[in-house]
Amino acid sequence: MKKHMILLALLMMTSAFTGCWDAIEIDQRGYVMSLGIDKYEIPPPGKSEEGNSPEEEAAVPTMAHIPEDNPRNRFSFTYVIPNVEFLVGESENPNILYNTVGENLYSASRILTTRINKQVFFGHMKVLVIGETVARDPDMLREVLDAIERDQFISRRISVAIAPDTARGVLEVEPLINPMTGQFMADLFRNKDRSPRSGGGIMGDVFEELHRWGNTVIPRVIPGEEDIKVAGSAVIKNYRLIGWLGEVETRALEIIRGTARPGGLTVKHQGKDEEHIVPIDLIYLSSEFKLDKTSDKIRVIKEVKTTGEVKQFILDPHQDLMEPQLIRELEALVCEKIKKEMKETIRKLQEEFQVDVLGVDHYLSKYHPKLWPEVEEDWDEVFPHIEINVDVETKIRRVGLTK
Amino acid sequence: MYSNNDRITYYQIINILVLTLIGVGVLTLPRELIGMAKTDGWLLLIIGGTISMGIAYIHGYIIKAFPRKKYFDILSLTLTKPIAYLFSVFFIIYLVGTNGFLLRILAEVIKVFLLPRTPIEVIFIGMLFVVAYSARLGIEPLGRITNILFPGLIVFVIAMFALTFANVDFTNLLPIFQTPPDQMLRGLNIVVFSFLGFELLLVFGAFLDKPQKAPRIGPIAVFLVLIVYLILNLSVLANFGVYNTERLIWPTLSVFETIEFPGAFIENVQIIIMSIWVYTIFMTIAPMYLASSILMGQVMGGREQNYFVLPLVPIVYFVALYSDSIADVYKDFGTFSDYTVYFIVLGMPIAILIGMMVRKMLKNKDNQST
Repeated sequence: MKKHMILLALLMMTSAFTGCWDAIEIDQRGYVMSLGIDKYEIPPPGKSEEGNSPEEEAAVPTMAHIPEDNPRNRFSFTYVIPNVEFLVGESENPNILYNTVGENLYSASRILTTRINKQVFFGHMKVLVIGETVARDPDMLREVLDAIERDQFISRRISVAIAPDTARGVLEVEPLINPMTGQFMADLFRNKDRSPRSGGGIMGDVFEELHRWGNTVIPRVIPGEEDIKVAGSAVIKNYRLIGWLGEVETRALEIIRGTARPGGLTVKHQGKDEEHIVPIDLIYLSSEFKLDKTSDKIRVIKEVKTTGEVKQFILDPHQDLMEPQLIRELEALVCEKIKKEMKETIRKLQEEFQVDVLGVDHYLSKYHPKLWPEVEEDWDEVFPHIEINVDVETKIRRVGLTK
Repeated sequence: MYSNNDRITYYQIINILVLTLIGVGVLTLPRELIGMAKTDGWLLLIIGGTISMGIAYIHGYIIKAFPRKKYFDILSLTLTKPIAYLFSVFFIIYLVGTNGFLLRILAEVIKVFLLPRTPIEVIFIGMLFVVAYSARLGIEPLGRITNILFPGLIVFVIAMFALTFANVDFTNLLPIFQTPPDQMLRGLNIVVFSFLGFELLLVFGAFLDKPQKAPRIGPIAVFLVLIVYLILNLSVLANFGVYNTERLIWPTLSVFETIEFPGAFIENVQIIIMSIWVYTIFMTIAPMYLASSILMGQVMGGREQNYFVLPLVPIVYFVALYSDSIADVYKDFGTFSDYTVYFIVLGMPIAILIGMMVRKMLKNKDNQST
């Protein structure tokens, strides 16, 4: 009897140990640090022979064969998986790059498992790079973004950027300072002291704006020889990339959107007989819209407040930065410069792109719920004709250690 | 102190009710609020919560009027025995059906986030046997579990919520007071649904050690849950805004995805949230399961309820398997609730109140005639 009881207990205990059904050992996973998405284009014949040097070929284990042109091959995905061997010093290659073509992200990732001995895992992905060709195609962009949002392992905190050429080109770069491309780009995005020359690029925020009206801005990422630069931004209208904003324009846009990070601005001060270059470190304090109710037309005023610190003047005993009058002059110069840049950007967005990524629609729908329903339907047509004025207030608080 | 005398204290029943109320509704609530009232969801919550508190008070009042009486006995005293059988069986059907759907939603969420390759049946059986095990021992172990875990849980949940407010845009809460009142009224039933669970007090009332305090229990539990829901709604809206929340199936889980720990020593915090949530769902399913087995025992006239625990397992299991996809689950659950909830939560207590009044009147008449 006792024997039977023990047997029974054992049986029941084994049934309780089935929790490891889904267990995957850590070395069995291929952790994708960053993912690049391009539109698949047939490689021009002969390119692979002349273009890639032997060591480059070794660093980038690409496709075993050149895929044929086939309607299924719509996307070209580039997976960057950090090389664990490199971390322990046993390998020369910091990254393992896999490139595969496929109809969608899911099946391409599944097909990839026929070529690597690990399971592709997106749970620790940091950066998503989208190639310009995909961003220009609204269907493809929407497909990819939906796959990213739907996936339960991909965090909403990952960074997203658009590459002007191909995403693969960006991910193939091995930056000198940290050759682990995925980690490097993640740090680049997370850098607190980043200049305001690129937008936030956080996936969750991008989704939020896209779900609202399908318009947003996404940072631009440019590959160099041995570094990667995140600057400027891509303007997305109706899920489609319609143009680029340069670095200065992006800064102005970020100031208007109220998401600008602290950064510098350089003004030229006209002294008595010479011109001085004065860089000023600025903190953007607040950025608010105001609706001017006096006119029939929609007229909004953007009010921006900043404070700053003078970083450089000129080594000259006659100049005195402790003179409040001089500070006032510099403040006026800064205001004027920001105003000019903002106006230029607003003009570009209103006339050239005709898309509201400034946040006027957010502002009206939140603060003027009576007015908003009247214009909501055809905001795309209304926006280019509304009047947007800017008003900047700058206070220079500090001048450094010398007079 | 260690004896199992089937008595629970005032605090234990409040804990049980709070954890029962926070169930699967909490996952979808922010989205449903937005669907009904956009950014005025908080107002809807407060109105719905107040109504629920009122109903919960009626439930408590009934328990107070019949201290230590079993629910079946209350029914037969006020509404005669045949009706009591009918109502009790209906209550059992409601509890078992709801439990089945809850189990299914639990398993679906677990499958998405935690165990993608485990067959759903295994998740069902694993959960059901634990629930059945706890139900066999009656209400007291349940009360003790909540006593141990409730305070820690509260601290943890508050900490987690605090983290979600790290990077939010509070202007997403605007505009306010824009929803027309008639639309508001139509949204009320969803809100009242999300507070369901306090009706278990009717069944558990017999085990209270101080039944005279019963009217306070329901409203306090609903109020505590209302606060949690308000914070949740605030957090989700401020994080995602109206338009993105509408697109998320389980905004409550997604909002914890936005947490970013400095230094990133933990990624994917929602896994931790998932495990807490599994516990709160257990604390929703287990009391309901217990209540259905207790009611079964009362209807059958048995002295103990344990015999009825295991036979219920296959029934709940098959209800859980009934719907095809996650979309069907929510649709079928909605239909099932529409047909049962109003009667259970509102109809039955009102019937009891009327029965009480009639009985009192008859008694007065008897007194006068003699």
